[in-house]
Amino acid sequence: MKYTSRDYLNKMIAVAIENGTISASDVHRLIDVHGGNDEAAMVDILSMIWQRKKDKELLESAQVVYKNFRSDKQGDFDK
Amino acid sequence: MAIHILGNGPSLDLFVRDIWPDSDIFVGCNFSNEALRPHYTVIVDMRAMKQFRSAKSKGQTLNIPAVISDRANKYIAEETGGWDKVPEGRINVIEVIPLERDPKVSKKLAMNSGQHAVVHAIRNYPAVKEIHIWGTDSLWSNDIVSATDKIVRPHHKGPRLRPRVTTKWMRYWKKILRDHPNHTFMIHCPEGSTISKPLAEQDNLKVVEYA
Repeated sequence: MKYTSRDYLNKMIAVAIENGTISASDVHRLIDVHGGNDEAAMVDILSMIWQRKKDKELLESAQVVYKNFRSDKQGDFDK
Repeated sequence: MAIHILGNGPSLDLFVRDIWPDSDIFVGCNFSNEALRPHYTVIVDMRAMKQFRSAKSKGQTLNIPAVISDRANKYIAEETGGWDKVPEGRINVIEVIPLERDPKVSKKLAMNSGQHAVVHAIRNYPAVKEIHIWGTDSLWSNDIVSATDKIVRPHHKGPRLRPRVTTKWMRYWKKILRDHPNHTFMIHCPEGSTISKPLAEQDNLKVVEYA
């Protein structure tokens, strides 16, 4: 399912929705609060996962998406 | 592009955030100064974690995303009544990492939060080879005083001289330098500081002194 047009944020939202951490209203709020700042939205999702589930493995599954995003972003800076 | 590790020792005053590009990676330690805009902070110390459990009026709130050690997690999750006892919003955990220790360096002591911050950042940003280390006064002094002490040891007065601890930390630093020969570690310190010899002898360590 497509929640936003931004790939990594979309993947992270999908992970968090699938594991039951966040709802559609959380997604709307995140997009409202962070606008185009995907990194801040993703950090918020990570902390929500921890805050609501306290599950290291769930957090790790979302961290994978975040790390890929950071690594791509870093590649952009290096160009 | 560079990684900056922001320790909490007095020499952190040498760090001027605005002269460094935002594309650099800024990593705090424990209760890092929010004004320095670290991307995240690394907490391994249980004493720091304790602050999040205190009563609402007394406890600390950390407004920087936190990477915590599994020992720090265990302390809250299993030894002090669980995460439900931590009021919401006190800490935003974004990652739980394994505690780094090496029995050849010390049987009891693990790496400190600054060392965890270095190792974590190197693993997460493998293309970045320049590591700046700020506010880590224990590299040239036995006094391990830190800005975090005001929070976690509010009643302590005077210097905190712990030569046995700093000796072991020094061994961990040496291990980090040896394990990452292709990285350059730049230590920022006041003029005249003497970095311990075994560290200063490493080719990948550069000392930047400030008058």
